[in-house]
Amino acid sequence: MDKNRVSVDQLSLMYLLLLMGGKFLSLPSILASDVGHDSWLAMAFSFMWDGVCLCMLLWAIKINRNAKMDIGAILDKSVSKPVAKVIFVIFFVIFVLRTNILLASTYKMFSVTFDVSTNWIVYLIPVGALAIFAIAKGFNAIARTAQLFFALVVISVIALLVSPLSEVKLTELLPVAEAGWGKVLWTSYFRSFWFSDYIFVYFVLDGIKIKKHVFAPMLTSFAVGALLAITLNAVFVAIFGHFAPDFDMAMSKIGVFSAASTTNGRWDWLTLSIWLVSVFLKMIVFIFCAYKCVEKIVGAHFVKVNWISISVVMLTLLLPLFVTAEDILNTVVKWGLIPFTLVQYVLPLLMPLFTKTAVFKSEATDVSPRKVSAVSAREAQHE
Amino acid sequence: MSNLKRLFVVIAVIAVTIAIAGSFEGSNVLDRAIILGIGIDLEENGGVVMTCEVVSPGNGTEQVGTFSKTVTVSGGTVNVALQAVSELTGKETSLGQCVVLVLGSEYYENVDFSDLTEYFINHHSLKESVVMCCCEGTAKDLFDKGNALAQSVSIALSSALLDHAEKIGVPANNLLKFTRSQNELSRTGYLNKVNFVPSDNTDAQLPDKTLGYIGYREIAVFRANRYVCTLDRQEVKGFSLLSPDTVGETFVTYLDDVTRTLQVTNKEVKQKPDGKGGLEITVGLTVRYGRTDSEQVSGAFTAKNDKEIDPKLLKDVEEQAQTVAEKFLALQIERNFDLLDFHDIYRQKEGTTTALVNKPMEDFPVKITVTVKES
Repeated sequence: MDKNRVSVDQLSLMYLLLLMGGKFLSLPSILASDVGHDSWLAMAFSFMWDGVCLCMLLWAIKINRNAKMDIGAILDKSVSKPVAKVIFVIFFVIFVLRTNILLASTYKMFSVTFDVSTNWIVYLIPVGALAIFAIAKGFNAIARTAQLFFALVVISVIALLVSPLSEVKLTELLPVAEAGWGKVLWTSYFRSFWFSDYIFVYFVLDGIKIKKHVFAPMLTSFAVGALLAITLNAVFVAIFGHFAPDFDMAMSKIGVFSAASTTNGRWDWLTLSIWLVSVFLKMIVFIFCAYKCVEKIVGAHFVKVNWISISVVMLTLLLPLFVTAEDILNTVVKWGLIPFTLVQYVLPLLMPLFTKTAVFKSEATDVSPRKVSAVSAREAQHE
Repeated sequence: MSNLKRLFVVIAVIAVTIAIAGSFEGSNVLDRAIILGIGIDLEENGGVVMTCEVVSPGNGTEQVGTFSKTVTVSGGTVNVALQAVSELTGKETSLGQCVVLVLGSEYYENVDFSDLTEYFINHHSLKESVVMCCCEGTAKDLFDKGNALAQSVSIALSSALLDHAEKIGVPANNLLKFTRSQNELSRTGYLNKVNFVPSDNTDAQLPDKTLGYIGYREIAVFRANRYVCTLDRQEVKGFSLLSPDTVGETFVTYLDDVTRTLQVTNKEVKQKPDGKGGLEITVGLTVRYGRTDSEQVSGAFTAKNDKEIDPKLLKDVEEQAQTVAEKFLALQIERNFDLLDFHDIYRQKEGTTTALVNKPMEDFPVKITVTVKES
């Protein structure tokens, strides 16, 4: 059995967890510092672009249904190998940066909220070990883990979201677009780095088991995830108002408004801890994808765990030892806005076309696409 | 994989796990001074005197029932004072379970405490939802009344303000709401003013023991973290009536030489711009006969019952409510503070502008209409 095989349902659950896993840390305060109480609008627009791109990507999955080509083969056949490599380099940078930001945020959360401190390397070791284990076991194992924790994480997120609702005055969000529509739209684009969580799907394209529907489960997950993220963001800015930009750990702050947290102790810490599972899953998925990027960049197909590639990925996760997460966001992410846009938003729009072209070419040569991918990888290795 | 290799892997995993687990420096609960409440008073040289109600796990020699103790320290700043608490208790202070923050009268009447609110609102472990209030006299004296209250002062205060205040017609506040009020729009807000009220001691075994309870029916007003004034009972009642979140206000009425107490059980407050820069406020009260032990009641009492309320009484309540509400609104204009968020109503339409932020309360003419019905 292919260890990277994943059903559409598993993919949908995973996607929902990923949507919830990274939007509730420092993003709400960053958006609030950009556009104040209109941050929920900026987030809504970002999700709108995501929704369009996701539909195109799902369309590409449908086209690829029988051919089961991987992203490497599709790009090699449609845009040429050198361009494909450039795309994988950009993907690699995105995955590594996003993992670094998530790691830095959770590191801070442990140290500040839970008062548990350690050094970066010791913090990285268990995450790295888990990622290596996941890579060795394949994407299917990650998807099964996501299934296992799904209900608990969703209940925790809902509990954290519901507890402060009595404190929220939705009129705090008025007037709509006070910051100006232009600024809201620009922020939505400028902070796009935090979105398009569907990009992990590219790296399991050849393993997706399609039984019936593709669009319905994935779009349902997307809608639920987007709604939760936007609601949480709106609740956050409505509660903290003027101070929202100062609280960079939205999720750990939002739970304290439950009456129970005063009378029954800090049960918000319990729900917060469970929610953190989704953040760690997200990191593992991104590390898996970064590893796959290395595979595509060097043009190899690793049957077993490749320790050199693992080391390359792990070394990049030492970045926060030298620069802070804020510096990464203010420099690399800023400079990389356009290339990131290409793979986050332009590529999915073109994916149906690329997939169709690749499928057509592979059928024309009458050679199994998997074989093509493996042969091309071997050729590249040989070169 | 051979058995030897498997064994090696298992041993290596266990060793690494132990090494990593040992590298995470958490804090042992026994090494922590868990602070339940913080009182701030003014030091003679301008610094702060901090009184903390502390729970110290592991102090097994303490008397049964005395689960907390108060620690008083001085420091130039709150941070220094908290450090001093650590030094005094020999334990790291933990604010994660703190439920109340009290400012002593000498402190809040004489000091701009912006630094204090800024420190606490940015404190990572202190909950932003912590109850914040001020007190008559010093916070230290209040925290020393634990024995008289026969319970933790912090818990008594937080439960009174968090759980009960809004049910007896007294708005209550927390750290985040107060700090926001001091930094946004009119920059005015309020804190509940609490005091210790001694009561008669009928305990024959401990006749000298002071007993009492905490009174929390006064409200102090602040602008930009500076004291403005204290509302009297009538003004608090007016404020409460115009606050949508509180119920339980009582009205004493007289009919046929019998005193009748009516209590608000439900309320609907609507504020809307009148189109001329002012506001129209409509207050819809639903009342029923109150308990016979309601406050302010004197003379002949009526029992709590389900009888229909005489329309004359409803009219009387309407007039009383109108009077206290107008009295409070007049004070808002006189002292130029905005506890009812009139500025916010215009912000929702116009956004935050300098003109709005600087708009005095006299520029918000208010037309108030009170209606009363039986529940």
